[in-house]
Amino acid sequence: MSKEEFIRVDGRKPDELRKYSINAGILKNADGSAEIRLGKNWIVVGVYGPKEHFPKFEALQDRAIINCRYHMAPYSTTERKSPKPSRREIELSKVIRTALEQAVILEKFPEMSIDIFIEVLQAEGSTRVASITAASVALAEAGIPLRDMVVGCSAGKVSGKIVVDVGEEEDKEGEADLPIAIMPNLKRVVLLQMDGKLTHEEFKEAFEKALAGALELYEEQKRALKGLIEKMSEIPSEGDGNEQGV
Amino acid sequence: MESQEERDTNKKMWIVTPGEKVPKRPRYGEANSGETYFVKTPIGYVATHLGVIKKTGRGLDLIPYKNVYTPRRGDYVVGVVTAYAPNGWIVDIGASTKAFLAAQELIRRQGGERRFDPKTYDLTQQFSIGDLIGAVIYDINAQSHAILSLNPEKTTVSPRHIGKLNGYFVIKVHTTKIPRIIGKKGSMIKMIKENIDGDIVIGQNGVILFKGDYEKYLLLKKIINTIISRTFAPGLTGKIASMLGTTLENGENDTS
Repeated sequence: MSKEEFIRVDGRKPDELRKYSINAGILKNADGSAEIRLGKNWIVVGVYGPKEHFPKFEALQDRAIINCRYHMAPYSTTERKSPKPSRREIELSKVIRTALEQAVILEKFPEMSIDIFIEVLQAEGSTRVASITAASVALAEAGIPLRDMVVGCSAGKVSGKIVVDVGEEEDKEGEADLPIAIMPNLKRVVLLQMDGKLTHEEFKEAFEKALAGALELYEEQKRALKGLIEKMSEIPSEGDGNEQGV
Repeated sequence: MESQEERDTNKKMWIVTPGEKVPKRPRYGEANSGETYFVKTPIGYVATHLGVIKKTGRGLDLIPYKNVYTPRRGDYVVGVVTAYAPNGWIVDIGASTKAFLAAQELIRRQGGERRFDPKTYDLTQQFSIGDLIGAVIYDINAQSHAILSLNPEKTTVSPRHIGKLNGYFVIKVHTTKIPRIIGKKGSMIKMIKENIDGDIVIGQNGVILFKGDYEKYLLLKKIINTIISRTFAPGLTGKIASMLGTTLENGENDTS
């Protein structure tokens, strides 16, 4: 490692993501489920629905409602976290819900609701974007129609350098943090938040790095979902055109 | 992106995830009895479900990995009574919308001429909450609720499978697996029925009922699980045939 190259606190390069893996269909009882591991982040998402919405007076006549709960387990942080929903968790539940609402075709299910339960078992920074990435896979696994997948990634400014996929220490000590979530095929941004200060150029650089990170995670999302079908068939995802008909 | 699309156009079948663009073909969304798995977006037609796209003479068919059951007129469904309405019962058919069974339907089925009168008619005497009922979807109303009928005019369903159902084993599967369990022109289910003694009922909403010996029920469950786990695999009917043959032979050997 040369000294000129900026190396981050966990030994990564500025545009390097943490080690990641996504698995779909991990829970037997939920309609759809997924798990993401991003560095030490470990998040499990379960999806139920669409089902009849209660209380009935809250149900919408023309579309479904998404109920989203982002929750950090008491053992997810270095110090015990109270299991009571905190102000931050309530806000993140709302932010994740609005990001996913863009992708789900809610008009197909009037008067119904879709429940998304996000459990952060272990947290190490950028959990909101990791949650969105996993929730999107769980929705697809549940058979809920989506316009596009939703995938998120964060970027930030640490020691004056723009870095991708901000970890816990970098989040706390860094100058700025920029989580984004996108619909990769439709090329739409569904979440954009910023904490701290960035110049115009820095913002552009951070956004581009987060975008590249999100696209990398999107490939992993696809791999996780396609793996489900490959498991129950002999169809290769990248075939040579000689596949047999069913 | 384009090279991927070109590759896709040359293939007979391939896996898609939601949001992936599919090459344009006529008669989009005509597959699966009118159920559509594509949506038009500014970038073109994209798949809305995870599944396998199959090229057919009619265009593109998407066989979804999972799907939320959308009630269709004429479907035979099996549901559970979940609540009483002023003039009927609310039935959970595991669909994207709720289903309603009018008390008048039951009066007609029982041969009654009188009209439903909420003052004298006791709904709780007929169906209790938790009862399993078989019915045919008669209509989908403006609120997208499924209206159930116990007096279908044109149906292949046996009359004994309509109304309250007692003493059945219940196997729940995903609705997308039902066409595979039934098979092409009913070949698979016909073969299963021929080899397994008992009463097999298949609801389009993914509920399979079986009345018969417990051992036969276990065999049926094993076969259905095999079909589910190999939904997208070619030559499934042959595999099930050999499985039924061998299992039955073994069973006969055991008893003899």
